[in-house]
Amino acid sequence: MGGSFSKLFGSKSKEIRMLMLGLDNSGKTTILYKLKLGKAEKTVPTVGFNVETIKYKNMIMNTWDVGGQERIRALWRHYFSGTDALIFVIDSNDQDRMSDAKKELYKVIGDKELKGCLLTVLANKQDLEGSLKPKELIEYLELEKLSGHNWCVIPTIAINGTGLTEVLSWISNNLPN
Amino acid sequence: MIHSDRDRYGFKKANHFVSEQEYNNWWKDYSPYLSRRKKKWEKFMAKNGFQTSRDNPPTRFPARSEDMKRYVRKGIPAEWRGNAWFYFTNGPAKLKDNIGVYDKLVEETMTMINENTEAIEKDLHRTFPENIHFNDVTKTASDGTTYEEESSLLNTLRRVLKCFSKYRPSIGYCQSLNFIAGLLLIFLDEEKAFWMLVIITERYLPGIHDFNLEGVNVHQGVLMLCVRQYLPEIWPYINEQDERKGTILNGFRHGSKDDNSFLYDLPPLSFCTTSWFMSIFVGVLPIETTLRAWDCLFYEDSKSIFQVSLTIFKQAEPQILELINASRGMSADDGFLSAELFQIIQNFPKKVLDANTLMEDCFKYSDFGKLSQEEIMNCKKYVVESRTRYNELIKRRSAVGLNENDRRELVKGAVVIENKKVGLKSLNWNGKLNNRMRKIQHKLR
Repeated sequence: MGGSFSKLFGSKSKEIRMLMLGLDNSGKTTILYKLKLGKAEKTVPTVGFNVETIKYKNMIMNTWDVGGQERIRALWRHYFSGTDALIFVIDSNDQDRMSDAKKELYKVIGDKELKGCLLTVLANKQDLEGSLKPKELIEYLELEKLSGHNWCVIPTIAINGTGLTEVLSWISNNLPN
Repeated sequence: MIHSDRDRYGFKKANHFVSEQEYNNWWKDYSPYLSRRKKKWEKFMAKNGFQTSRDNPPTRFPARSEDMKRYVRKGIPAEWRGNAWFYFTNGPAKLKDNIGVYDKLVEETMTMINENTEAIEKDLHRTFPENIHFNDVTKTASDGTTYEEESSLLNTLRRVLKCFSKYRPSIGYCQSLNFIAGLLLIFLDEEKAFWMLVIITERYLPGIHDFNLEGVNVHQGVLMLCVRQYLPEIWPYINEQDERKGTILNGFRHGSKDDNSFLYDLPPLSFCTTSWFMSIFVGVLPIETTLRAWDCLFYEDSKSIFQVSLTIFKQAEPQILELINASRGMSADDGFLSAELFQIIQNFPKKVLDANTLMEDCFKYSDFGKLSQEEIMNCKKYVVESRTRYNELIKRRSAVGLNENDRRELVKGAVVIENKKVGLKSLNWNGKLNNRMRKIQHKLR
C-alpha cells in the first residue's frame, strides 16, 4: 500500500476502495456528501457515479457512489472488482420496493467481482415513521443465512449523519489485514 | 441580478464549485457581452429580412450559412433560444405532422401508474432542487395556515416525462431525461418541449437512453477514438487499464498498445463521461455554458457534443498531466491514480463558467474544431461494427476468454472495415491499425 495519499498522510495510512450501491432514491449520494463535507445537500439523481476520497482514522477511503437506476448501474457491473467494502443502502421506508432491494442485494453480492468483500447494509431513512428496523431488515433480507461475507446492518439517517461514523468504524475494524 | 443569489433562470448561483463572488465577477463581463451579441443578432436578422421586436421573438431564422454558424457559436440570445432550437431541429414540421398527438397523450397518461411513472415521481423534486421554479411553493390559506403547493413547472415536467414514456416505450423513463426535459421547459412551452425531447432522442442521441444503453457505450467508444487522436498526451492515462480488474480481455489489451480493444472493453475512466452524453452536459457544465453547447448541438448536430467533450479534456489536460507527474515514481497501485483522475474529470467541468473561452478553444484554437458530422458518423459506424463483431465472437466463445486465434479472427474481421477507409478524413486516426492490418493480411496470404 503506497499510493501518494499514503505519502501525504503518513506511511501508516491505508487506502481502500468502497462501493456504494442500492436502488435509486435510497440516499447514496446524500451519504457520500454528508461523509465528505459534513453537511447534507440537496442531491440530484446520479447519472453515472460520484467518487470522493474520505479520510477516516488512518484510512483513505475511495468511495464510489454508483447511479441507482437499473439500466445505468448495469453499465458499471464489470468495474466492481477490487472493492474492499460494499455499502448497500436501503430506503427502510420504501416497503413497496423492499423485495426489489433484496433481489438487487443478492444479485450484487453474487457477482464474482465482489466475492468476499465486507458488506454493510444501511437501513437508511430511520427518521421516517414506519421504517423497517435493522432487526426486521436482517430477517427480511435473510442475512443470517448469508455465508461468504462478513456483514452488518447499521441504522442511519443520512440527512443528519446518524449512524454514518459507525459505518466507517465497522468497516475499518473488520477489514482483513 | 448582481444583488440576487440566483441567476436569470432561477438557479442558485453558488455551488460547491463556483462561489457567488466568482459567479458575479464573471457575470459582470458576460452580461454586457450578451447585450452586445443581442444587438448584433438583431442587425443580422434585419439584414436577412426578419423582423424582431421586444414582444415578438422570431420564430423563423435565416437560412444556414457560415455567418449564421458563427452567430450561433457566439450564443443565441436567451429570449430567442427556445424558438431557435425548435426551428433548427425542424420542430415545426414535427409538430405539424403530429397535430393533437400530445394532447391525446396527456389525456391517456393522466391516471397512468406504472414503473416509469413511479420512477418519474422519485426524480421530479430532485431534478433542479436549486432552481426556484422547480420547487414546491409555500402558500398561505385563507385561515392563515401554510401549505406546500407544487410549482407548475414540476407539474409540467411530470406530464412531459409521462407522455414521453408512453410515446417511446423502448426508452420509457430513463434518468437524465428529467434534466433534458427540465432545461427545455425553461425555454419552450410544454408541447414543443415534448417534441424536442422526441427529436433529441431520435436524431441527436439515438440509442443513448434505451434499456441496454448500448448507445452510451458506442458514443463513449467514439469519444475514446477522438481522445486518442486529438489528445495523445493524456490518452495513455485515460486508457490505463485497472490492474485489479479481471476481464475476459485481460492480456489482450496489454498485448498491444495501439489496438482498438478499448472499443469493446471501455476504459473505466470513460464512464466519467456517461452523463455528458445522457444529460447533454446538464449538471456537468454550469448552466450558461451548457446552453452554449446546446446552441451548437441543435444547429450543428451531435458532433458538437464530441467537440465540447474534447475541449473539456483539453482544458483539464494541464491538471491531468500535473497529477501524473506528481505520482511518477510512486507505485500506482490501490487505484490511487485512477481515483484522483476520476475526480479531476468529474469536477473540472463544473467550474467552466467561462463559456466564451470554452467555445473559442473548441472551434477556433483546436485541431478538432473542423471535425465534421460525417466523420463522427463514420467513426460511429466503425465502433458499432467493431462492438457487434466482438459481441458475436464472445457469444460463440462464451466466457472462456480470447485466445490467440480468436484475436486473429477479430483482427481479420476488422480488415474489411478498415479497407473502407472509415474514420476522420483529414487525420489518420487509425493509421497504426491500418498498417498492422496490412501486415497481418499479408501474412495470412
